[in-house]
Amino acid sequence: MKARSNRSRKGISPVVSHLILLVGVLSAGMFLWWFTLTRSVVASQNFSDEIGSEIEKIEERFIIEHILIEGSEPDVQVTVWIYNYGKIHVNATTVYMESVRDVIPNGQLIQLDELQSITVNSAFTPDYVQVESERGTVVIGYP
Amino acid sequence: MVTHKPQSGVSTLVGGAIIVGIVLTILTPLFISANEMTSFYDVVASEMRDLEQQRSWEDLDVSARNTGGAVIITATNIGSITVNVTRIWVYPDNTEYSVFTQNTVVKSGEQVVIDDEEINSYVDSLSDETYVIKLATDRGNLFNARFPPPAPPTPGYYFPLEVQSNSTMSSLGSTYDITLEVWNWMELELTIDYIIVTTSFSDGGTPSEVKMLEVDPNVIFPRVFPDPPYYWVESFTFSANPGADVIKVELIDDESFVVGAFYFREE
Repeated sequence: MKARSNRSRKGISPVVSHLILLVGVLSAGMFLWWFTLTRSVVASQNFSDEIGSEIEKIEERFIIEHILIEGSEPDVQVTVWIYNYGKIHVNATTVYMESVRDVIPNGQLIQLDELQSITVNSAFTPDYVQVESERGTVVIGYP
Repeated sequence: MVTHKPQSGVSTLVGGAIIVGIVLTILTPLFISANEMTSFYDVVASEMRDLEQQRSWEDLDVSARNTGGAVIITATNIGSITVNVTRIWVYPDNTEYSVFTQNTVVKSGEQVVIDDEEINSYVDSLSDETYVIKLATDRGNLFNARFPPPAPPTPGYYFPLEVQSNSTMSSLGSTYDITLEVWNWMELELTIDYIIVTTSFSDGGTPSEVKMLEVDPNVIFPRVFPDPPYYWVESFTFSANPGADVIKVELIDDESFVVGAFYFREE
């Protein structure tokens, strides 16, 4: 009886060790797979975001359709009409009177095919006005 | 011993299959996603190029005349694409304006006459009889006309830039001073890079001298703009043989074309 039970224990040990090894290898493999998959998904998402942002940039088109100048120096009011002829909304964030910068709080949203005006104050009568969008497009207009 | 051989071969195959499976499940979606995004980018870029091309094909020749108190705007499509005029701006200067919504379609080669009562009444209310009419299109182009239209160039005048008759020339010995006032009759801005001055003697006694004077590149805007700088006033001083009585001035643009010329003649 003694000799038989020893033989049966001898058979269990390699199975258990193989099982432990198998679980360990599978866990490591699954972790590696999960890690690589996660990284690739993140990389793919970043790439998509970047391309999406580039697409939005090239879809953005607007012009300064008209400029009105009221008042006299140093209290000049400059009204700029911006027309969006692109394929995406425009958020006008900054107006430059020549080199003087005027930031529009929260920007001015201009939908597709829409004409919107922005009025800013200036200490002088500008020879030209530039409007910059949130996506970095700059358009110049002459009064 | 014999039974172990096939088992070792199977495990290598299974391991290889698992690795290939892992690589495929990770890389295939990545490649598909990247490919789809770049394809979409190309499609959008192509659409926007088409839009810009169509925009550049738009060309309207706009004129305005006042007939018995009514402003008649004539828009002739000299471009190769149908134009949709969406707004008409009327303004005497930069401090006053009125804008009128339109939906006027002008096909290529077609001429459309716009006689709008609202525009008429606005123009009637203006104290200034000089104003600019600006047509805006849905593709983001602007086409201007000035009322009254600028005086036509004198017959026989073939240059886009006109040196005005109030330009002056004086000489003291071999020093010559020239002040030019130049107007642009084109619809596009022009850039003057240098001028060529030829001093001659009508008696033919002294040979002519040619001087090339460089100027700071100077953009002259079209005459349709309501305010300066549609003209250019600049003075030059140069030395040449004293006593020249015919001085020819040629204006050269940034593409080396002669875009204006003028003669000063000493009486």
